[in-house]
Amino acid sequence: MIDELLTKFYNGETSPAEERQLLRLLEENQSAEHQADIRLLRTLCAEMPDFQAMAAKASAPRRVNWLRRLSVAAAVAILFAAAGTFFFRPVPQPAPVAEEITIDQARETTIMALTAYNDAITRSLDKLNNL
Amino acid sequence: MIRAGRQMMIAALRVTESEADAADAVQEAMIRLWQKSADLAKAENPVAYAATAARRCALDIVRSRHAAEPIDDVRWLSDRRDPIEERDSLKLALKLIEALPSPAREVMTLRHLEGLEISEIQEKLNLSAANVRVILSRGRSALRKHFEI
Repeated sequence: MIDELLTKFYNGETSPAEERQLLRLLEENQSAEHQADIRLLRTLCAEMPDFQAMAAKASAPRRVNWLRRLSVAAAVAILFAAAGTFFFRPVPQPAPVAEEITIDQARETTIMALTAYNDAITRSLDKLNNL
Repeated sequence: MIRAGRQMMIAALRVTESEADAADAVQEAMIRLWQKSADLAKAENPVAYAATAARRCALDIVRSRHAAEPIDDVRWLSDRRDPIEERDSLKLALKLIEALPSPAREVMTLRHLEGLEISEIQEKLNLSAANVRVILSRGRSALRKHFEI
């Protein structure tokens, strides 16, 4: 069987299926005289990649990287907030007389500032999400 | 799809240094072609267009690997390529087949790399079936010498 197929192969008469069968038989046999034939057939019968799978992967919808979107949105929001602060900065007023404030007042003022900041970022993110 | 895929793979293998890189180039090219499917539809020869896309992606991969060195021509790559290991069978097949003289090179490429049947090779190269078989016979015998220890 091997000799018959080998003859056909070197006569240019084998089909691809016969070539794969010949390679399988030679590899099972593993005789010293056929090592060159085995290596040649392995090279010529080398498998191509699965192009159907590649095409399916290429056409699959892309997953959105939400974390990346959010970080970009946050960076843009910070820029807007910084720009807003720059352009809408209050006209310098004479320095008020320093007055003492309590810790509670300071805490309340800080919370109000942070809340306003958070609202600005949220509004910016909403606008970006609606783009 | 498979026919086009083979052409893309061959185009990429001619540029890259490994089968893995060639496969990556083909995958990347397919993604780009999918995103620009309108351009592919307009192409006169979609298979050749796809193969060119694969070649470009392969060049990108090679450039990124050799970022510090200039690449003017694919021939530069062949001068510095390391001997191909036999496990990269497709790459080796391409190298050996392309070293054959014409018409063995053309017939072996169509048969073993592009996967065409004898009848398709006959039509494409305007040869008789007997002629194609004789050329295959000579090509295979010539390649066998490469593997003799």
